[in-house]
Amino acid sequence: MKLDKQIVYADDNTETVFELLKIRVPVLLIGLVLGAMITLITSRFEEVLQHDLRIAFFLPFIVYIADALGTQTQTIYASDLKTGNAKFHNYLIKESLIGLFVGLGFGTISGFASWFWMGSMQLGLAIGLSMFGALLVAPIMALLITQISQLLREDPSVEAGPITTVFQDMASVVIYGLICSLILL
Amino acid sequence: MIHKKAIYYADDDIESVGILLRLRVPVLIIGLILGTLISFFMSQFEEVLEQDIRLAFFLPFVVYIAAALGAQTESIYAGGLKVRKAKFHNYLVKESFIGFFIGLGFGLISGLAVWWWMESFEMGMAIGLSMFAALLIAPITGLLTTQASQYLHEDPSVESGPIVAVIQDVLTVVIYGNICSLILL
Repeated sequence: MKLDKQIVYADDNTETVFELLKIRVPVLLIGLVLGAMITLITSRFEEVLQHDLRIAFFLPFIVYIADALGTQTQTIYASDLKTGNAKFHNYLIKESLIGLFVGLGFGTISGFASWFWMGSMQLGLAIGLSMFGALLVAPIMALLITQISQLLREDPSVEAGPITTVFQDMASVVIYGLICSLILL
Repeated sequence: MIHKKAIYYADDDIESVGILLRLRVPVLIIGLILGTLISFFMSQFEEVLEQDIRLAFFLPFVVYIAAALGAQTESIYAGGLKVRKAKFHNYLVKESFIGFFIGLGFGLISGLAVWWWMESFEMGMAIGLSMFAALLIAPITGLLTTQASQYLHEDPSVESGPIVAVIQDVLTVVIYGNICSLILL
């Protein structure tokens, strides 16, 4: 399970700006290309956004919280993989339960909060359910992507970071768009 | 600069789901509360979103790329701090250049792509400039928040992650909303 690739360390103390750019830009460029997919997916939900503009207010919020939960999973699993004693099966069960409980709690809170703020029960329901769905999926997505990075012998905590996030973000946007469309259209 | 706090390790192999939730939920709750700021600022830009709903398509994308660049800075600087030879001044100068160059390149690419896709020069300019500004600021935000975590004796790579991310996201939304409002209203 050891990483065989030689890892070039980015360090602002010793490397020139040009070297740092050479290390950091490639993965960001992949992120830029894949990130265009987020835009494409969001544009598929134009109808529901037109229907109620306020849906756009909550999109970056849900994407953010799902990322935060997924990043926790990724950090924990990646460092446990490094010490060589992480059992995927244990993680899959426990991370699913964590997604379920955090999703239930946060979905309920944000559903009620947005119902109260926007004065629309339907909007509250859509946001609460999307929050639940996104948080349910986030730890499992992060676990799978970290596992795949490990198989590809990438250091999941550094190089693959932006790529993990982009898939997480796409999943959140799809969940949000679908649930909002189902409830509000 | 020694970390005095005892650090609890979240590890799905040995800890119960209850303990894992106790370790992971507190920072997420702070994230949930601070995350409402993202929605609040979004709602301030209702007018420009109403003017052109397609602006909502690109927002999660710009937020994502800025967060990816900021997270690189954060993990590199946090790594440098751990081995105790990171000089803040070096980082500040070089990260500013990195933000400038990546912002210039990615702003140009995405501006032209949006102009071509949406067939609106104004919109391309708004997205391109927002991308430039968000990427210019991102590494500096990443650096400052990591430095602040260091002063608070938090492990910047784990505990404060969601809080750093929310500050980054709020700034990006504010930049995006303001630049779009200036150009398109």
